[in-house]
Amino acid sequence: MRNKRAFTLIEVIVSITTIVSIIGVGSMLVSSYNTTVQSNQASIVASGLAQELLTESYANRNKKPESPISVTFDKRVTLNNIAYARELYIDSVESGTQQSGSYWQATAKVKWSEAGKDREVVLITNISKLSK
Amino acid sequence: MTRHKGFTLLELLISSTLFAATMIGVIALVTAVVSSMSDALAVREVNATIRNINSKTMELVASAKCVKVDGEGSVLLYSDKCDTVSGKIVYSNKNIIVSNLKDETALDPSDVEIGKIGNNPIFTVSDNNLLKINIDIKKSNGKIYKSVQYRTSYIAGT
Repeated sequence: MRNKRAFTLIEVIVSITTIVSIIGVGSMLVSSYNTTVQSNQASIVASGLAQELLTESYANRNKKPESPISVTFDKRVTLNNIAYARELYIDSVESGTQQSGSYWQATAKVKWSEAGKDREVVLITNISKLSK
Repeated sequence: MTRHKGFTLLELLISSTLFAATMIGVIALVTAVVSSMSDALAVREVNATIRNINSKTMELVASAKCVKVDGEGSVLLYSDKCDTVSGKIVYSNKNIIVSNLKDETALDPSDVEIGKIGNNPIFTVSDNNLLKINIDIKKSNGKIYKSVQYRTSYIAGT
């Protein structure tokens, strides 16, 4: 009598483990790639919101050249189901040279939360002071 | 005598269950990969459109001295104190078209569609120099569908 050899239990377990591992790692890579792409998009949208604050700072400087820049804006904006929190800081900076005098430095910060992690985009621009 | 060993019912059940589970896993993985790649390509196109809108609009508006809304979905740019028209930004046929009166450029060269966010107008202008845009950029790629809401503003005469 000749017996045909079948797979052993160890062989079956090892092959199943290998297949499951490959599928698991593949799924993780796909998921991670997707998260990165979505995350980049959130950053682009946040940059747009930050740019809006800097532009409004310019507009305020043009409107009231003799007053310090003061911008009224929505502190919380929800786009694409993500809640963005915005902050704007305006500082008067002395340039150190007599020719340029002082200027406004506007710093726009946009923060949001993504998969439990806090993220932030910061845009800074210098705005010249208009002569009175 | 050669005796062929057949599978038992239990072996058949276990092996077919394992095979089915493995196949389901592989199919799910392949579907997820294809879906993710399509989604990522859609997002990439949407991001490229946003960058395009940003750079072209900013360039055109910054070189103008005055901006005025000209009916819904249209903005006129002026080279001086709101007297001489130097350019135009128009929302038309799910696209934004910028024109400096010499050249006309569609800001979305791909098949991405631009639309309103709810009932908000696409363009709003304040103080004749601050242009705000509020757009929803959509990309449909077969069954894959990506929609991104974007808003920002540009200032004239900087």
